[in-house]
Amino acid sequence: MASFEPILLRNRGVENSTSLEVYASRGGYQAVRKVLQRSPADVIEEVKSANLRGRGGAGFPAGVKWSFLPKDRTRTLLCVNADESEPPTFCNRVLIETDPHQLIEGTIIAAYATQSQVAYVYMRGEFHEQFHILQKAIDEAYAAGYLGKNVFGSEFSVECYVHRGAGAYVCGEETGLIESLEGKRGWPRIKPPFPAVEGLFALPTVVNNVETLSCLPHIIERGADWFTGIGPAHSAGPKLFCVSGPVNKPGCYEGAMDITVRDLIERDDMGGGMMDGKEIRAVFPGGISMGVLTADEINMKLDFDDPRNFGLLGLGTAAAVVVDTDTDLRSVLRNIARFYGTESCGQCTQCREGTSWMNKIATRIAMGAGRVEDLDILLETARNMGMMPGLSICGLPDGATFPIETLVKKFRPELEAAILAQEPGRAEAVLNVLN
Amino acid sequence: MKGRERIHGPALLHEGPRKDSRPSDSGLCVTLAQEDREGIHGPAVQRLPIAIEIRMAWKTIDRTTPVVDADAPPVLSDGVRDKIRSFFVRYETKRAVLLPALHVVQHALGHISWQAMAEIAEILEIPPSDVMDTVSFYTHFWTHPKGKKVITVCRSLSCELMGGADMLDTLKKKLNITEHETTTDGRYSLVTEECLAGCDHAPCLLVNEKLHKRVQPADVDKLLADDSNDRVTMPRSDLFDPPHETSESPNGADEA
Repeated sequence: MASFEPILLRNRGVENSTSLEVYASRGGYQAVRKVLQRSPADVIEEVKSANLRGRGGAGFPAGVKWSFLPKDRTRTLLCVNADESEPPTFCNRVLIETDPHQLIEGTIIAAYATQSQVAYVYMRGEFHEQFHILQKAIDEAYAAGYLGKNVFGSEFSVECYVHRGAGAYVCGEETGLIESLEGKRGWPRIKPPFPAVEGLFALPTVVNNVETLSCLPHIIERGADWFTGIGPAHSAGPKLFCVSGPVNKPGCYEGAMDITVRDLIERDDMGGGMMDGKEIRAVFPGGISMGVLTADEINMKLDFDDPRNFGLLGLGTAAAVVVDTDTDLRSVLRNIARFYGTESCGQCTQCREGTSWMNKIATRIAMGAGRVEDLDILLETARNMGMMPGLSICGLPDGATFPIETLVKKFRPELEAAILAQEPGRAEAVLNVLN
Repeated sequence: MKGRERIHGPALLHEGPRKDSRPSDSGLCVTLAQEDREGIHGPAVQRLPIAIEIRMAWKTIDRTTPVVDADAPPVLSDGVRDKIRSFFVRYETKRAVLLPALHVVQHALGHISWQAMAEIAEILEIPPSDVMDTVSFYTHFWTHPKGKKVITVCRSLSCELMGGADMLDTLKKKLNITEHETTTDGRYSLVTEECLAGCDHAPCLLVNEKLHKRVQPADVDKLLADDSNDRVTMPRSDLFDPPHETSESPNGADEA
């Protein structure tokens, strides 16, 4: 397969790539100059026809999202979602570390298209080094007149502020992010009203992911037709894929959305195959929330549509973690259940209780004190958490049930065998103490 | 019972060593205390002891002792207050300055005390309960003093697959503390967190702001002995730092 010409990562490996000087010398900040000559509506049309689908996980077209803004608005706010917290996703971290000015240019373009006065970059609290890099880049952009009043000498003005989170997965959900920006707990809001109508400070608000915004300068520079020419029609444009776990070259790789999970793990210019001759047992291909694939299913295409054919929630963040055959799946189950048990915000009963019980049950199974019927209880809990779309305020419970449900369903024989092989009487002993 | 929080008030009636670990009193609940210890590979799971912890199902509230002493001198310096106010221009409401304010105060004082919360509330013109509401939601804010450096170990899937549990164990042994504890010399606090977004460098950990990549159990000694293990390589932004004059803080600033 021909190697992919990097677009979003084209400055990775270039010396001093985080500086404005280097970014500008490599064609940076040309797109935004062009954009300022065009009308905002024209820019929205261009992005719409590029079919730029949101890279944060949901895959909603960015241009369409922008067009939901009320026509008669006077103030608009833009939020940049840099709260990347989905294990095992790190592509936004790589983008910020290697090319912060690309993100800033994309942010100015989005702010212009939506006529936003302020752009808030909501950055997760764990990103310390990345914060320093981005803040330095923002300072540089301000000093050069690219941010603030009359950007590039035009009539358009936009302020750009970094807002640092403080450790909460749910703040990556767009209304949770908005609440957190307002100084509150990151509790997602009931929709409608959608943020485009009533968002941050009750003003029309657009929330876009770092990777989505980083695509914008390239769409403007090279046109929507060029963008739609990359990858399949429904999943156009370059995409960052992450791979981690016991592979030879864990990392962030760029490609069109026509590659498979197998490519991502095995290709020499990507994951480079399994470490020390280990074998694949399972892969979580899109962040853990999307669900799991067996070793037989890794020919799944990493685009926005194919994951549904494998019982997964969607493409998610296209970040794969590989589980090898030496690993005890009960511990994987427990690790995942604990994640959601910790990160559920606690607003909706079924999510708060469901994730916490799934954590307790999975912990007991991982302790070697499981029962076969516990697997059915896990499935039933999962069903109760997501039996009706719209039952919960946000998508977290869906994200919590898919990995548990797919893991239990697809690996039931292995899990049952492990439970049956545990020390006899242990489950009963533990349950007796608990009762 | 190491690392357990003490329960104050009438609940003390039942404190002290118990003869019977299986209570029949209806006021008691039993929770699984087994925490975060198991390795991800099979055998580690099997050798785990089952630990059962008993705790009261209720906590009592002491309404007789004021949370904040009204006569105590303010804990926030004028410099810190000005720094907090400098964020006002960025947001539509004063409450939105809460997260930046909490970051600044935690940097200045090491943690966010009740009194600091009350003073922040005054600056932002919101009730102190709103400050507490927000503080209690986010895991990064400390309401009690922490060590000079905080080690944050990632415990999510990629790191666990790559030996994160062994690394965490080694750290606990070397520091002689467990999670959410501080060493007796006050040098280090240890916490675990979900994904640090460093999965390509698993297993990873943060020492204050510095991300350490691919930390193996054998690297732990060297890491802890290195005085500059929290120094980041890029130029730091002081946006969320307190002004320099606030080094009078009783707990020492976060930055060593």
